[in-house]
Amino acid sequence: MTAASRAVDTLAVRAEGDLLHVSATKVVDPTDAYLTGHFPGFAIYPGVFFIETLEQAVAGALPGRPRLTVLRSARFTAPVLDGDRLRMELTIDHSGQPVLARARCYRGDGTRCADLVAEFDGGCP
Amino acid sequence: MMDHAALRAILPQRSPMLLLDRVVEVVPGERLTAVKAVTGAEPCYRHLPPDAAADDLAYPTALLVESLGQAAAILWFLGRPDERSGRLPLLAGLRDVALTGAAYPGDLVRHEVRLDQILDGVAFAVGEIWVGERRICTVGSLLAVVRPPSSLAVREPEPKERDDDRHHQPVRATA
Repeated sequence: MTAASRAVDTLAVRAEGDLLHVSATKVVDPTDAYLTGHFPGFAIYPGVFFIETLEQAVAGALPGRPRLTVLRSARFTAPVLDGDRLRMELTIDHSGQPVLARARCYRGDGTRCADLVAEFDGGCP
Repeated sequence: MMDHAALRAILPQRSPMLLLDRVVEVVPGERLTAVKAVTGAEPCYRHLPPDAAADDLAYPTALLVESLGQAAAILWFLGRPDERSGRLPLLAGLRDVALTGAAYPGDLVRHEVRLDQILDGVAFAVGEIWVGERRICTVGSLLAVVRPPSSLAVREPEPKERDDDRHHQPVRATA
């Protein structure tokens, strides 16, 4: 799968029955190709890149090439800037299809910055 | 019709994050059709493994949705040029985004966006993304806001965990 950008630096996965608890981190890099244009001289992690982080975290936690099919909801509530460390806490329910992923995201200072709920097809534990 | 130069004059994003090439039709304040050509020269294709299969070259969801969001921003700002003065448009929320297909290098992606509601500094849009006769994505709701850069640079002084729902503030109060 083509990635918009490297959107996960570290990934930790813990299994609990049909659930996977995933913690993914990403430090916002202002030299990232896309960030140089979003925005020139003022890098903000684009809201849509949280979708990329989510897809890469799910792909890293769940084999079988899971594919994002529905983004039920996403809220972006605080900006994540140049050098900030983003942490995504993700619960993946793979008891059936579609696989359901719920994510909460925090900045380095602890501020909650995004929530996402999404469905994936094709992943298997 | 608006060419790329006209879009650059309205949107603050720049290459390679300026993900819209041309507006082909607009009914101000109501709806807009815009296109974006996907090419293999984009940065997202830089680090593909040498043995990448055709399927692996699906254009990333994040960039597809950003491209549609920029089409919505053009429609918003055409009607209200004052909104964007000294401020940056930011994506604040999405709802019911269904991915039913994909775009690949060589495809011309077409966005059909409509404005649902406009408030002061806030816009709600809906849209669809097409490649030829194939609808590859439906966006049930997209929420965008405008913010002055100075309001975004403020950081919390204390590293402190704030996990629970009580602290989850609405978009307008925090971004």
